[in-house]
Amino acid sequence: MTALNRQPGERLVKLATLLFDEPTRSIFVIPALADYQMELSEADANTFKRLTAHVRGYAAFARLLLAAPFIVPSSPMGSPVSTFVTGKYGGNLLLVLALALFAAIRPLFGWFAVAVIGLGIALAIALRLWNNRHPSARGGAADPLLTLLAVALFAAIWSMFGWFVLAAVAGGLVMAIALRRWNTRHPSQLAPTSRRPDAEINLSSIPVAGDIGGLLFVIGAIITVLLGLPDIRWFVLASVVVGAVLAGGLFLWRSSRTSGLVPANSILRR
Amino acid sequence: MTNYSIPSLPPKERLILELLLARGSLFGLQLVALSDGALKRGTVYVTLGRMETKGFIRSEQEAMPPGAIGLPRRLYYPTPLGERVLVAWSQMALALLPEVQP
Repeated sequence: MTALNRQPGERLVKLATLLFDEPTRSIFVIPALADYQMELSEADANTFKRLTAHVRGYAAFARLLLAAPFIVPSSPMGSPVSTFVTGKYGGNLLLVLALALFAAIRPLFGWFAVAVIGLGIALAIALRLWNNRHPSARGGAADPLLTLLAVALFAAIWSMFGWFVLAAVAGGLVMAIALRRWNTRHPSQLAPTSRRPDAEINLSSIPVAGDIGGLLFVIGAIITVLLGLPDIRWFVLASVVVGAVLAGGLFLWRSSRTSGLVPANSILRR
Repeated sequence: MTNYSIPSLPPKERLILELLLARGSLFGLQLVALSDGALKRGTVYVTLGRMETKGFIRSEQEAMPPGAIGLPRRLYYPTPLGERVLVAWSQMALALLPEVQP
């Protein structure tokens, strides 16, 4: 097919095929692109109307791109974020925010930022394709939005922490694999593995049980803080000691008042 | 105490239901044009998708004539549930806020 007989919006349809799953495409994206084509056909030969239709069509697609992570069928449709995105100025605000963010980090990081963002987008598309082809696989760890966010954070803190970032990422990966292996071998009610976790950026929402996995998590967090902020090492160590004493006291207090009941987070009694 | 799950009807969804009940069926772009700026292109389909999930509206793909090119649009219809919810919410607004005419 040549450029002359190509349908308007065909490239956007192809892009949508890469970025969105089928339900999202048919419910949200295709109708918006159909509107774009309809406006273009109605504009006929009027240059100004055609230009307006192009701008509106691409703006609507860009807005959907930004809103997509919040409106995929698996996410709660009535969530505050979804309501915000669909609000009067929500989509425009997101678009402006994304452009402003890019403009802000571009002078700081130069082409490195552009390369990292490009790499992140490529990675996100690859993950989306992989997720589409392996729907039964666990998708939480390979969520495209989370990956994009991780890459953006990586780019943002690079100038401050340098190679420490790489070490932290490697350490985090090793710890994640260790936790996953331990959980797989020791399934428990406290660390559910059957339910697919939602992609959340909320440490308090991550189920960490009072088991070896939780202990690894705590130790990893302490080491990360110590390596990143060595000036406060004594404060951190003192906090660990005070926290351990408090936890021990709480354990003894609960043990003395619960006869026959196993404390929910007890490591010793499991 | 019995827990009832009463369907909510935010202002945008209410506007869409009013337009659909007045016209019978509409395309997304027609809804945007009739809303006087209250609905936006692109994100109107997010709201419509949410309403379809709630059962307030239903949609079907536009029937394309033979030989037609381009992407098919979606035509949206109100459902009986959507009509009942709109009537109920209008009555509730009238009862609770009589000074604000719906």
